[in-house]
Amino acid sequence: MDYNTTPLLEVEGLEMHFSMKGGAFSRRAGVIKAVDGVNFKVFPNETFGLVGESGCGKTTVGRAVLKAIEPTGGKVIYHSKSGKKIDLVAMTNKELRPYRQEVQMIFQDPYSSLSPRMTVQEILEEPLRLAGHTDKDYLYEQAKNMIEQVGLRSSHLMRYPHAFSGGQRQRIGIARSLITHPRFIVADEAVSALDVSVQAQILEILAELKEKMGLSYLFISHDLSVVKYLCDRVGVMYLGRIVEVAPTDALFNRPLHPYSEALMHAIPDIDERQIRSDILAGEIPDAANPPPGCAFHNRCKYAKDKCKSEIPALREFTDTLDGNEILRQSACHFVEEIFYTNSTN
Amino acid sequence: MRKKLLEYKNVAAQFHTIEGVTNTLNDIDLTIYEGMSLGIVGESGCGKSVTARMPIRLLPEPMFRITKGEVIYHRNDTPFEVFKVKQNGKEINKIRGKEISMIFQEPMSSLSPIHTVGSQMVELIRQHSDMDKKQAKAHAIHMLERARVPRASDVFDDYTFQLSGGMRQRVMIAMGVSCGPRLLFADEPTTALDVTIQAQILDLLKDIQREQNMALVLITHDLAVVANMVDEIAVFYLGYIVEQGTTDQILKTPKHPYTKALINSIPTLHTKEALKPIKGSIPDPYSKITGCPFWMRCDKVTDRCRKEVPSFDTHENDHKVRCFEA
Repeated sequence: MDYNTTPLLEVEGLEMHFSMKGGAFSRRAGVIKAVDGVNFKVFPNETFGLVGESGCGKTTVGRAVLKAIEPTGGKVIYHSKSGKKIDLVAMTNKELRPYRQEVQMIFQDPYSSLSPRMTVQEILEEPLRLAGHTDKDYLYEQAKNMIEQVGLRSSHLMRYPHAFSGGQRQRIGIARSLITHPRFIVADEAVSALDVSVQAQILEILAELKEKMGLSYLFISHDLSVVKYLCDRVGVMYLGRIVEVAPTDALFNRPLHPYSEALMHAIPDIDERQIRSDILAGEIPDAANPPPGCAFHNRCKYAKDKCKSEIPALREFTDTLDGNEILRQSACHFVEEIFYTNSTN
Repeated sequence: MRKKLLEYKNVAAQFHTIEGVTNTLNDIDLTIYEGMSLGIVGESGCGKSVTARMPIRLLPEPMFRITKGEVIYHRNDTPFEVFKVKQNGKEINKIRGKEISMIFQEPMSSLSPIHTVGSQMVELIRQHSDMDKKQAKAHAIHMLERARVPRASDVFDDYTFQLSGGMRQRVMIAMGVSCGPRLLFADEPTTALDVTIQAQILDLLKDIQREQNMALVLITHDLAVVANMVDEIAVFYLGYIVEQGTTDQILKTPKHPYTKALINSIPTLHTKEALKPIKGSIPDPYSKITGCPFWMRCDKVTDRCRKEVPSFDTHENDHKVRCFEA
């Protein structure tokens, strides 16, 4: 991966604040900072993973990037096919329309994301129709081509979604997202609803199509092992902020944030017996009432006084991976003390 | 010699619905011993939840029918056949929730939203014991504390919607074990939870099992979850047990092609190898399959597999496999 090229997408200071209304019947009023100052870049033909537990804001980031919801602050700079640099947040929906074909989304639930009243052919042709294509032969040709790309047969085009299994529906969902030949895909928990044997098939398809069509993904998932398998770089989120960004292998070799470390220990693994002392205590705090300072400090085993008062900034570090020097980021006050001093490697 | 607790003897069962008949369970042969921990692993529709609900008759009868075999519960050394008695009769009510208990995947839909945590627990405890209200309350709070619910006496008066997902699951566990069951079925207890909470809950289940010396059956789709938790694993596919053995036997030396494929299709944190997905998908439950349930997706399929169902054979060290090639 070449990180010196122009990125495809740059997210700068993205904010999504929901206000809770105070009224006669509600006890509290205030602001939920679902996403609070998120920065990251996605490069051409890269898969950028976003992981975190429920309520960390990963889905909100995915939706805000596509303007499925209107972010309350920040910028999403997109470098379009024609070479233009545009800020998606500042544009109106009408201005955005020409770019909608270039950025698409794959949804989590293959059961609720396909209309039960449309045939697969109609489902696949719809994005093209919206883009202004009307030639029937062209539409059919595209749908047929796409359905074969995702491993189904052209005879499936006449059927309705209910005739398919979860895995097949997810393939249809992928075909629909890719039919306009997008450059950037937001995949939100795209394999979470599937059985493990089918999940592996879908991961293979996503990886294969990425190479074939030169796609970039923003891959949002709670499942670290899936993210490890598919992603080039990963951002770890906690309570609306990114706490660590690193190339996947570097992150899994040596996390540079206490939360990433704890998250990795929490994942059950076939090959490795869990060490009980590493189990993270406590729960994710209420987003309406986050702890002061570092949001993770009340669950962090390394926490010191500074963590309770100061919000740590996302800082850059250099690291080596397979002999190459790489850049990575971590938002912890004590990265040097915790992760660099006692490391033996 | 281990003492038998619950036996499934060649059980076959069907669901009769408007759309047709499903062969939900076929030739299930499984024994649960006192104090053991067993993992039941399989994908959707493999019959793992039905297996767990059978002994306490939680299935919609007569839509659900046993067509062959029997389920035997060894109560005070007098075995009795669970399906020979009335579904909600005295005998079952004595067992259900007391001697055999269950916790579910989604605590929100299995706990009542209009009763406090405490009133639900007290009701259950008083049903199965002769404690008075005060004693039952003290016992309930004690159980909540053992499930490591912080501020247990406050949570006792809370409604379930006031609690977080992890806390609800702790309440569920506290309820499940409050009558000191001999056997606890945990049906996907952590699937709806975040990974850090999942680790806490699994840890808690393990502790409680050890303290109470009860048998635990952990039902899950995730092989990695059971890897750390149980002594033995049974792998289900399409209503059959295809392989059964100790955790090491199943994970390190799997013999059935489905088990092998399942292990290879899970991305793990420690391997760099490419995934080997299983081709095809799980067949429709209403379709009639002849031969081995897995032959359509199997790499080593032979003509014999298409015609005959392999028997469930015991190999060395009690490792059981349902495959001609093993």
